[in-house]
Amino acid sequence: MNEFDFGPISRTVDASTGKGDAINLASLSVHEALTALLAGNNRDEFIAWLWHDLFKPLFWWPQKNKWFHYPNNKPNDPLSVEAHWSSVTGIPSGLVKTHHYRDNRAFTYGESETVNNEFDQVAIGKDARFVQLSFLAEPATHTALLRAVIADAFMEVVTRVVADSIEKELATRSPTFKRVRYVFDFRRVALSNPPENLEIASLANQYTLHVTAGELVVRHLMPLSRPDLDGHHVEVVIDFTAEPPTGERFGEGIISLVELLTVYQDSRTILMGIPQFLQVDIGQIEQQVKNAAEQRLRDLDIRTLASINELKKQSTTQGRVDWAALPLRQHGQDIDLLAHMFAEQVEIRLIDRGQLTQKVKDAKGKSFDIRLLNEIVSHPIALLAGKPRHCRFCNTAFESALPPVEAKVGNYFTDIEYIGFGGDICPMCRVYVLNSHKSRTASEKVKGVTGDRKAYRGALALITPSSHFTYVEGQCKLIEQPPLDVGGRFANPLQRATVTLQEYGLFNMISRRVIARMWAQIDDAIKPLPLPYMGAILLTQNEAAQIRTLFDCLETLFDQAELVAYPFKVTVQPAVELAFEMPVNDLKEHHTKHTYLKTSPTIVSVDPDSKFTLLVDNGLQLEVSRKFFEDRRRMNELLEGIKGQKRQHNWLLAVLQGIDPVTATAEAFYDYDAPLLQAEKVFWDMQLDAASLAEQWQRYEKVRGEVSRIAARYPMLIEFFAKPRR
Amino acid sequence: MTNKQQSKPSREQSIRRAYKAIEQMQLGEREAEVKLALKALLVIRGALNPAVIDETIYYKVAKYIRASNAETLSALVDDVLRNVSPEFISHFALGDPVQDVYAEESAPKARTLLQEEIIPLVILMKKVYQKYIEPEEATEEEQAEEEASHA
Repeated sequence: MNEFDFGPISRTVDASTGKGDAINLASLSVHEALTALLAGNNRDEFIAWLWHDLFKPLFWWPQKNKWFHYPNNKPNDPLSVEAHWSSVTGIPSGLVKTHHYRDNRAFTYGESETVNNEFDQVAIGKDARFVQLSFLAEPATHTALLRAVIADAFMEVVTRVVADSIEKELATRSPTFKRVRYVFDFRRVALSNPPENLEIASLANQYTLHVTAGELVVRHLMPLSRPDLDGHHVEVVIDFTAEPPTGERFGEGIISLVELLTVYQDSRTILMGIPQFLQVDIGQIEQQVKNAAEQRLRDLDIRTLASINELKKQSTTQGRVDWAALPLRQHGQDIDLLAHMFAEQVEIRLIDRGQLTQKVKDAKGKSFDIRLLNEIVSHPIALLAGKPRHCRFCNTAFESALPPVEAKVGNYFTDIEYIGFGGDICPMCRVYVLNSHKSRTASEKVKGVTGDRKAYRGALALITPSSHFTYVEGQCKLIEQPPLDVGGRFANPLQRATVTLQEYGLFNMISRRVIARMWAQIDDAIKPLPLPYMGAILLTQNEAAQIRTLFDCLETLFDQAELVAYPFKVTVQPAVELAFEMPVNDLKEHHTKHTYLKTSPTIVSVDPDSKFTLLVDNGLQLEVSRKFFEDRRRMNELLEGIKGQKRQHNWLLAVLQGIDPVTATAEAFYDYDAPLLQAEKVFWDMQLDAASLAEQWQRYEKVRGEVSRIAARYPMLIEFFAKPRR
Repeated sequence: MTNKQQSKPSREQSIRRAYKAIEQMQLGEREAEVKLALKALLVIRGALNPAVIDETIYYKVAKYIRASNAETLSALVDDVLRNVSPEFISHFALGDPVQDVYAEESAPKARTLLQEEIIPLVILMKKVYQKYIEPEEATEEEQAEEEASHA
């Protein structure tokens, strides 16, 4: 079971909006931090947004459609603490209390124009600012690695730029801090009926804000009725530095800046929110992204510089092109394919406040502006329209200064059913072709770097967060009706959850944590994720053994994911994108195979009923589901008494040939004088022992059927137990 | 405890008890052929000359059954007995299982079953035999095996 708790909900939607009664799943901490990041126009607004909904965790609903929650300065009001906490946090008094005002709001931008758009997965705040990375390339496994490295670099660069600007903005006046720690203390309370203002004031007075050791600590008391939750404690730390997320930080309840900024993520595009006060230089960001990607690719042993001769070898029409006349991007004597990619297949753009909006009318005919998410995330597809050339490898329409060619795959490639005939190569696929296993350059050899290049062929494991999440409406359970819900807001379960930009962020955070849990299970658990800013695992043939281990951890994807967002508990289905190929038996020559061309990235929901197909050993498509891991575990139980890898191997070989498991045990002990006695001792007596002899036989028949079904379903199963001999 | 209860039942009685136990077993979907296969094994095991019995006897029986080309269940029993224990010992109590081996409709299936799943059937037979006929047999065999494995 994957359970996530980022604190209580921060928002409900009233039926009067025409959308029905609903909740938002994003927690208060995520809501306040995101509002600060996307709506705060300066230091004071930024800090004010961080605690603008301070008293929401009281869940004080005097009426069904009124949630009293913001600190104010009204005399005799239980929440009259705004002036005090403004002074503590160094912001003007009166700012926070106006955050819902339609007129005379002291904030430059409101919540509804930045984070609280009311249009289920349709629109994002029209006044929020974003930076968007687009790939002008159709998703394909052999470009997934490149795209992931560039995406990670993009997310790192944007995060660093934003972290720097936040630090500078917050440093303009004291107190200053780099983190916010939201603390939620659940305490059972006994209140009058109806609760009196004095009682509510007493609860509100236990809320505290203070800055200590570079951290703003906001402590909330959460009154509740259920005795079993008394003493429950949740801490969420929002880190505004550029530190990347790690499993360790997740364990400490830290939400990293890059997580909050990531609004949308798929294989074509990444959309990141940026603060209102950030001065953006897209050209500079693009250059930094390219530099960071270049370094990472070099670390992975992937080449992006090609000599003219190598490029000529990629085509069969080299003689018909005047290479000297082409406007190629050079790096010394070489052609910089990464530069071509950035110029021709990668776009980074700023979506500034008010841009890309359109006017629509509501049911009453009132006109207003919205910014459609779909139009933004489909931007990469729009960019592809009208491109005159088509890539033989990934079927992408493209335009390039590199010459049109009749693309050659290489002398080692015979599986041409996976690619088109003739055609051209886009810059991204040129990088793939360039990195064959025999592509060591002369300069590399001089430096002593020898041996086959293994980073871009053979095994691959790429697991990235995906924004294609879902949740199960019918399984949204009310934990309890909060004691201060006098108006009955939560008297009945709310009908549905609405999804805003905040929920996109929330589900991205959950996906990242699921991936980090998988990473924590493999040997290098303490190492950060290979693509930490993207929240992704990337392993290549150079780490083939780790890929094999990672495969065992994929079972995490079949756990049920539960989001606790007091007063609700919801079954959610975050998603990850998976590109996976592993060697099990084909160990020596695996890196010479074009396995990347034979697989497609797939999006997998984190759900017990999910299943997907993985390529194994460049040949077998293995269906992976929860059942696979259960069956494998069952086989392990059956093998428990059969000690020794060789005997286990023989047992598995026998059952895969259709032999019953008891006879298989005898065959595994073929070198004994009395193998039957071994079959009796280590299999029959251990696995089938029962009260009566008839029951033992019935149990035998059951196990025999079970083994036979598993063997028929997973003919490759043997490879997951015994070490291959090749 | 009475004297009658203390006295060891005769071999004939034991074989009859074993036969009855097999008859009463509930053995699932393939019950008829499993029962008949067990009866065939009871005939073989019951008739073995004590001189040929050692710790590997059940495995030998299994091997000969698997290797036999006999086309009927009765021929299979005969084939195995002649190979493992040519001077076999007959018992009146084996009359009923022998009759079943010749007469029952499920004989072809039982013969196939014996050749395909002989090891589990022999183990079950061994347990029947130990329970109803020779309780001390297990100890002797297992001791021998235990000693061999520590040699």
